[in-house]
Amino acid sequence: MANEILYSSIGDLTVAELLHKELQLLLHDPTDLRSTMTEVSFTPSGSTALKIGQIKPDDVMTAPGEDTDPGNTALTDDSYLLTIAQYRLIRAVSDLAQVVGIDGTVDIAKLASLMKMSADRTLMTILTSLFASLSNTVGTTTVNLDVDDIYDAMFQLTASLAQPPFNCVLYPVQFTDFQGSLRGETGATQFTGPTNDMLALKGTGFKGSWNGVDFWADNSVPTANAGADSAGAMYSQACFAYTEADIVAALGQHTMRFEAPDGLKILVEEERDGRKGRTDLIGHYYPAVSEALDGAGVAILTDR
Amino acid sequence: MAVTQVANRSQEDSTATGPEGYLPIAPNKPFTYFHADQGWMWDPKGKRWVPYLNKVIGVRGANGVGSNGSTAPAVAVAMQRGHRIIQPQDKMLGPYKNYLYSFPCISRGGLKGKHWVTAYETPTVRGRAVRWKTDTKGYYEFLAYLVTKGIVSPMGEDILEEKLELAQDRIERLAKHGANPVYQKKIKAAEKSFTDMRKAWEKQFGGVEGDDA
Repeated sequence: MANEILYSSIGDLTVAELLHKELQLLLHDPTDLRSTMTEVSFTPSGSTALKIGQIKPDDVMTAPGEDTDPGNTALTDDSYLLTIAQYRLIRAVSDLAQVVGIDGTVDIAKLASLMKMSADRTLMTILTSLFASLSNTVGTTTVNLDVDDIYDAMFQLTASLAQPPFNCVLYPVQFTDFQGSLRGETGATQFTGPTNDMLALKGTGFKGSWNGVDFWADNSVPTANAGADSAGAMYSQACFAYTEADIVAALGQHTMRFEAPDGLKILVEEERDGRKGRTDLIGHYYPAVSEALDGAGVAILTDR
Repeated sequence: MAVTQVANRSQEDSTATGPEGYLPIAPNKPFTYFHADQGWMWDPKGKRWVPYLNKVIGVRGANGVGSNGSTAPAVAVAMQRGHRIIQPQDKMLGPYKNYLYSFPCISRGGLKGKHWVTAYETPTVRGRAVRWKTDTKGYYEFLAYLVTKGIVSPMGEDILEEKLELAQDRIERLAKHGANPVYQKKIKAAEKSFTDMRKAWEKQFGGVEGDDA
């Protein structure tokens, strides 16, 4: 037998590899922690900084006795600043790359839609950077996180008058340590994994609930103690506040843009450089996050 | 050891072995340490109390840091809350002055910049990943220096009582699982720590706290 037509013998008629139309995502962190914070609407008023006033509403009344002036009670006040910062991300795609690119690989519209994920990650990175500023701490340095650290955090928040429900955002290793520690737990308290309904309500990256606390794992949780530990955090919704300036409303009508999904405040514009044969995709985002109530959060310091 | 390390490292360290001398990691922002009065940690290995240093990280949009990157608003917030700011260039830090170091770095997306860490973190490049090793001993010497020189206020007895209360709660929770041999070991360790915590405080701060007040 000879001259069979084999795949290995028709090199001129085949290609070594074919690029599939489907573009898959590399490992990334899709966690969205917006639902764990208080949203403050940004109203254009001539400044990048919003000052949000706070008052203590429940001073106890005095009973000095009949015909006695009880004296004035001052209002206990505080405030915090939300200062928006200008964030941008540019993807510059040459015409040649688009001409030869198979649908879906270097697709401008797809790149534009991915800007949402970049904006989400930006906001989460701003939030988690603030975990390193929380005054209250629990945990033991260089020791793996266990269930008792979570109890300590809950007790600390309760002692500080923070109002539940509490959110717990951990570095992925801290979360797996927590899962490992849960194996040894007995009793009625069970970890409840995320259902589709809960994911829709709480956002991507939600890991589940335990003892009334909602858990997330986020890769941007900062280090502590010169990198030996992670500074995860447990906090109530009042602890952190965020705002996003509506760049779409301010500039959208003057700029060629792609629709931002879910009404997100990200402007994605297309800039054409015909001389260079290139299309630039520029994402604009103006977020801010602040610690609104320091006592409503506690850093969880355990081995990274 | 820490002093030697600080003296031997340049402010911008380029010893990392990455592509073209860059560390293959995304740039980050420099930070400033500060200390909150209640920020104390138990070091079970050294059987001592060590201060926990918070960080103001110069992330734009965080705690008032605007587009210009100035951390002044965030530092002001920390000061308003009564925290002690430890600026890297503070002369009181002596041999530990300029505790921040940066490595030239490049992200997978091609973004070049600097990656800021403390003097006690050393990177090793493994493929595309960067592994960090912490010189815990050196870092604790730095922390001890801060306490000795009064840069960080001594740990108050009220803070100790709060920490002991948490430790006591932990022992009581563990005791509910007393029949389990794994928990028996944990209970013993927790009880030992509880005793050591007060002893260590007496040794480290006994008598000092009253003077401070």
